[in-house]
Amino acid sequence: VNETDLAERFRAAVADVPAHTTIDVGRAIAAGGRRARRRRAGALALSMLLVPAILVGAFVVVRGANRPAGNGMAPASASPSGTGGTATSFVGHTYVSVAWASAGQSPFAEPYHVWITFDTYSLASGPGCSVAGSYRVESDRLVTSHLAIPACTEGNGPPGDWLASILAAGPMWRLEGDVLTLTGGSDGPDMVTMVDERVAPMSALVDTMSWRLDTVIRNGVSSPLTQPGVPTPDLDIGGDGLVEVRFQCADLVAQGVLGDTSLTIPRTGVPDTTNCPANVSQLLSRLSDLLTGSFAITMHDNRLTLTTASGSGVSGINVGPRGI
Amino acid sequence: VQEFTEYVAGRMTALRRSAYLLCGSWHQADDLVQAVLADLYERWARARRADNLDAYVHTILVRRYLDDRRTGWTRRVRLVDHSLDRADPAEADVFDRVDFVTAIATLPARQRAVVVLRFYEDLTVEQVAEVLRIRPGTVKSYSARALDTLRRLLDADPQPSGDHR
Repeated sequence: VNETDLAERFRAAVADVPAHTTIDVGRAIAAGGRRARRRRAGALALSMLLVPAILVGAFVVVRGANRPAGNGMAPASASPSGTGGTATSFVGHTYVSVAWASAGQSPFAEPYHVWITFDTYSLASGPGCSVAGSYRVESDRLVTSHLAIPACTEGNGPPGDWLASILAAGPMWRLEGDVLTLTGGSDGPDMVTMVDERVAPMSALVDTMSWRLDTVIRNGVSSPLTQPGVPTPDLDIGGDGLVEVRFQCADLVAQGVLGDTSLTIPRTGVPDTTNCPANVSQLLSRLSDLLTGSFAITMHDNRLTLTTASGSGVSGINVGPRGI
Repeated sequence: VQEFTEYVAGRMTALRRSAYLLCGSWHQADDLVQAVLADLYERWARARRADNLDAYVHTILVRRYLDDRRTGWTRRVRLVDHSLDRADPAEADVFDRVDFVTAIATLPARQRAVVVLRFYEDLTVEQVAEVLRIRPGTVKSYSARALDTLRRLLDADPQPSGDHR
């Protein structure tokens, strides 16, 4: 398979288009028209709310500007970044990214979660394309040095790359409660919003990440999942509770219910294992049994663990953003 | 409405083909195109002024596919890949064709989108990056990884009739 061959195969694959189709253009026009009308109505309602708010804001600003300067000191500047918390507030804490922005807009459909942990003088991020180095706080800036930025590989690369770019630029920082915002960087997103992992919603932590299932837990005792000649499966848990255990030959899929710290899986779908070696089929069967029930979710040192009240479950190491 | 209808009538086959290569099933492809047409009509006033309307529509198609794959019903209802269309294996070239589509369907959705855009739609790396809102370097690595997977699946898979391509 080369690139030219691939183009030919694509064309051959769609040479015959079925005459029968369920596409109904009239239905699409009706649905699209309804949505457009709703959107226009929403925009109108928003503008009716915003216009009075802007007028009130302008009135307040004008009143403020007309006041005397007071004791001769320079007027206070706008609240700088870096306020709202002290530099030491984030020392010892780990933050998880929940939003990225580029030129004020969200550049991605997905949140892309990465971690960053601040020690007194050093920081480290993960998973996947990890960045580590020293930092110091200079007023509203986080000045980094000796950053070790590994060559980022596909899959794990983009979020780590983006965070590295922001950190290398000496970003402005702002801490408001549990929310840390870093602004800077020139390559990719220029702002990342992170929340303290202690309060980050579990759905944000598990969603978009893949976990390599390497451990099974029975009655509280962990044992390696890997068997000779059997590939280690990846586990994905979507923010919507969809659970997937993926081997190359078949997937276990189940619609679970994801809570803040729990995951309930009523049952997994029965996979078609006709293309799987016998040992993989057996493993799929075991995992199907193990992954049924109500699980507590814990995350520690880049490892996700699902355990039932009786001490059964699975555990896997984070292998970066999932390749949905 | 007439302008929209005429445009859609002229591009329907191309849209269905692209959707099929992404979804791996004509049924899901038609559902995807149906959703895309509703999206397109919702934005038609802006879309019709686009420099390249076809590219605009294909961007909607690919992004809608990725969104659906991530959060939509296609993820929720899929248990196994039974949905892939199967053809009569007695016809060697048809079998080969289905085998290729099956191989494409094993790729993760983003990799699949990249190879379809790069090698079927013939977009440049930069254009693919713009459609998928990722960086050109990521497009290249997705593409390389997808090609590796396809080589492993297709080059190692003997054809039942011996009628290799």
